[in-house]
Amino acid sequence: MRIMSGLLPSREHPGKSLYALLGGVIVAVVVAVLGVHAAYAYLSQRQQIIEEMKQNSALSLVTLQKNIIPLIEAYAINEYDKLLATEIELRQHFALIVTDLNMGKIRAEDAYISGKIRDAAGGIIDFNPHDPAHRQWLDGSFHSDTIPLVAPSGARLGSLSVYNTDGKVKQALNRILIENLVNTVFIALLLIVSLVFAIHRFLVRPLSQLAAVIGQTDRDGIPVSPIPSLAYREIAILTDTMNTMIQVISRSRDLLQKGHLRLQNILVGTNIGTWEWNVQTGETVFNERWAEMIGYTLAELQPVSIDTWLRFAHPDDLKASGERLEAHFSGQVGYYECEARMRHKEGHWVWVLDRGRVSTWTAEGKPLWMAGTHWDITERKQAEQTLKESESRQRAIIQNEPECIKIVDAQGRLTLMNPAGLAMIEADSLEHVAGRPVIGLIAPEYREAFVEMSKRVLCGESAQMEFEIIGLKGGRHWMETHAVPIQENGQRVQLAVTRDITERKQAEHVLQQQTDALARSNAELEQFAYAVSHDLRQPLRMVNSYIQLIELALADTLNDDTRRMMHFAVDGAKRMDQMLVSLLEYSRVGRKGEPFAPLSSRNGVDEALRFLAPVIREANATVRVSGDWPEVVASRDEFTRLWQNLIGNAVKYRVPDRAPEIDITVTPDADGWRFCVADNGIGIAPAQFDRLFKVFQRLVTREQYEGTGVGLAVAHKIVERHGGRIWVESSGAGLGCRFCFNWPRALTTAKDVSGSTGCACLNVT
Amino acid sequence: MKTLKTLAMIGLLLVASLMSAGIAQSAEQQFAYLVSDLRIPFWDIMKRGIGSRAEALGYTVVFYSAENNAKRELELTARAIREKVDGIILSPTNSSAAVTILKLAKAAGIPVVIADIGADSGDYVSYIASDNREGSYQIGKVLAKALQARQWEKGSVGIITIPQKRINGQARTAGFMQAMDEAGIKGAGLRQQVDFSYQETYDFAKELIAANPDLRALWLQGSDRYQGALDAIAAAGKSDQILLICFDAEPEFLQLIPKGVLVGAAMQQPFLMGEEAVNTMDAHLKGQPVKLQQQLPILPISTENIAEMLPIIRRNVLGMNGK
Repeated sequence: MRIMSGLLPSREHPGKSLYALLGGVIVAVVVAVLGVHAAYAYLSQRQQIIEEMKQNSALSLVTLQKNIIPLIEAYAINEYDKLLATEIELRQHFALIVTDLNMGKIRAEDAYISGKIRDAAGGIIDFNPHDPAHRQWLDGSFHSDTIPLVAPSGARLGSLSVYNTDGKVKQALNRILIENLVNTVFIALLLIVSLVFAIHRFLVRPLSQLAAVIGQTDRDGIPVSPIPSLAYREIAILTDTMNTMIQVISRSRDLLQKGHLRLQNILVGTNIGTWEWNVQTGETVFNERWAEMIGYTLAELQPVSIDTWLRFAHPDDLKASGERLEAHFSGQVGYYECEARMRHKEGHWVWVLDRGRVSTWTAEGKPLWMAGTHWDITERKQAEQTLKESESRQRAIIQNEPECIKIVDAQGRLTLMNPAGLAMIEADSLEHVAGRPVIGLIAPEYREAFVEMSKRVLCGESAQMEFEIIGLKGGRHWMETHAVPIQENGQRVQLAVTRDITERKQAEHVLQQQTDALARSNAELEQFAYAVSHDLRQPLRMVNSYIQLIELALADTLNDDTRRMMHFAVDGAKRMDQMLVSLLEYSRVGRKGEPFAPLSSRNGVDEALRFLAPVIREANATVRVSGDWPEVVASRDEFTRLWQNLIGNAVKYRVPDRAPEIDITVTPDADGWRFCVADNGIGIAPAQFDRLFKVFQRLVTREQYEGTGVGLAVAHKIVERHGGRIWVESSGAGLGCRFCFNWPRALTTAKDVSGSTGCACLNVT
Repeated sequence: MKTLKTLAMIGLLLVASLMSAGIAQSAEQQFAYLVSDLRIPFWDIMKRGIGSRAEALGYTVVFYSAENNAKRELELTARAIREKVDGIILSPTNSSAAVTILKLAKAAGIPVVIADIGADSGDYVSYIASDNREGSYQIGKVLAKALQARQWEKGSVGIITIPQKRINGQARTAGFMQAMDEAGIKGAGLRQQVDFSYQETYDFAKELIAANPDLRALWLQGSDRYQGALDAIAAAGKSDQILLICFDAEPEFLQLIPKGVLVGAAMQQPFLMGEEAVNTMDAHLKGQPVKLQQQLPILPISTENIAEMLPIIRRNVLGMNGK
């Protein structure tokens, strides 16, 4: 069972924020990188500007050289002045000066110097070579370059000079500096924001989510939920790995917990005390149960040491304990095991099974730490003692039991038999028969059944059997044995108690002979009754007929007395015929009835009510049928006849001037159903109950109620033939009565139930 | 016509007043007239106007013709400066060259009056030029009238121009086109002269005629190569279908215009301009204020007015009456 300790709230981690740390690193790195880059860019651009300025100057010189030479040759002073103006404006030079030798010749000078120069305001003005300020400006220029002007013919035309100040450089550098600064700040901000956003979006947030999930831990600090898989492969690999680790840790924890729990359960379940002992120092560790076995708490025993054990152990057991410890220490036995007594706090002795093993050894091979258990075996010891006593008692009982008690193994060999049994089989001693197959003692005609019984017992059933044995000395005896399976030495064997029933068998044989004689007698009697009732009716009808013919023939001669006597004779003959009919009916029960078959009990009642309908109407009777009518197994015509007789009785034996009220009910009972017919008729005195179901027994005079006294006898016979029982309940005369019979839930016939024999064996299943 | 008479009267009065004023001028002072090329009649007429007026005012004038050569122009400039003339009347080879001359003159402290061709920049006393825009506008109106008279106003007009980078070229084109626009006559395109040769003028005229079947007139912004244009028209067989009108004047125009070979011409007054340059320099040297920019009227001469304007044309345009 996994012990879940429940969720723990997310823990606050005092460490530095990765987000803040990364943000700081990003800011520092971006600022440093961009700062260095800006400085490098500034310096390189400064150099580049200077180079560009020089290149620009050189380019201007080359370009102007090409264009100015023809203009000088054409004496187009203004034209090249305009070129200079355009060039100085275009390329931002400080000054462009042309030394025109041709023009100088015209003017009778060394050279004509003209050009363009920027004034203090940056405006482009004509260069005046005679203006000291202009000269000073040129002298203060940052950079200058001069290129000769030579005509295609090779004639020297003069020179062209370009001047640049560092003002433009400074201006450009200032602009670059500002641009770099702005760009650096902008890029830095952009990078910082982008990187911070990216880190937050793609790293910190997933990590935060990851941290949030793994922060939700159980009591053991293991995340309770798997980390959701994240979109980024690297993070996903991390989360998958962590999930795998968490699963592994969880499973390991679970296994550990299960193992620990299992161990705890074992310790608790086995109620075992544990001990650990440093053999070298005497230091010991006991668990609570160890102390509890002897009635103490562990705290009460503190401080504990090996002396604690010695103090509570029975002095007589210490020697054996010490010997077994030495045997274990010396390697003779792999485990130390000893049963010893310890004194309980209440003074009595507690048996413990002390087991253990050395877990660690010193470098010298001496035992160092040893661990083991204490198992309270007091009850076992007591049970063993009790068992010993019980076995002693049982042995005495078995030895003195007058019936045979024996144990037969799975191979049918006798392993134990008490003296009474030995006497039954005419053996002198157990050794004489032990190990021998018992089948040899069984009379041959019973051996097959005996083997079958033995198989059933060995399969786990209990069995009973009567059979005959032939004693070792030839004596034949009837035995009744009850065998049950028992376990002995891990095997199933038969424990049988057998009694000698030779005398009973002999008595039963006599009784059976008598019963058979009685049955034959009954059968003959029934046959006789049938024959009498059937065969006597014909001469009786002749007597009755001829008496009536005689009465008609002598009608005029008969006086009242003889006529009354003739009437008595006719009436007697008729009544005799009725009795014969009733007797015939009675005898027919079980002889001429339909075979048993399942039928609706309600149909039986309804059919009977249809037959009795005229009588019921005449009597103005009320018949109520209630209950859940089951299906029963019965001979259909006999079942209907049963209801006819009972309901007919209820209608017939009514109180004059009281309309019959008849309740027909069915209720389930233990073995089947109970059917009852209750009326408000004349009732029956309880003392007459015994006579009620006998043939020709009437409790009222014929003058009061017609009848032969066979109806209830027939009912009784039908019920009994179906395995039921019929009885009557009444509070007395005038209080009505209730006839009830129970009907078994199911019927089976042991013999043919065709009715040909009239004998059926009924078993309740 | 009334306007032309008024213009002519103004010119005559101006000449008379200047001539009377010049009588009292000292003759010790010397001018230099730096001109691009006296071989060109226009400049020669102007030289005569300058000489006539300078003489009247008692000034000595040295004429320096650069023969349309920049080096020579500069050399002459340098010479004039070395000779320490009191003033320079400048008709430069081009407006760019004028800048250098002005710069050199300024350095030497010599005042300069520019006549007809201006300077791209520089300091000068006054710049006297023809009113090219107005003159072109007026001659445009003459042409429009002629086209309308022939009911050819639906046709187009081609222009053969002097270089349009020149201010006077731009002004001539603008004034003429204004007149065309007002008359509802469409242009047929223009061609800019480069070398001012006969062949060039002939070729441009031929191109315009060929490119514009509805061409009804050609305007030539010059005068000396009018024959090229006439020959191109004749070669196209359209002598009676295409009119020709010119700027400036040649002596033969006095016959061609009345004959109708030319519809008319916008005639500058170089003689008058030379006189006016001397008057301006004189005024400057005397410390009198002068206008920095002065524009002289151009005479829109047509078949209709040439007879009436002939005296003025002969004097101010052709310099026939001057010295």
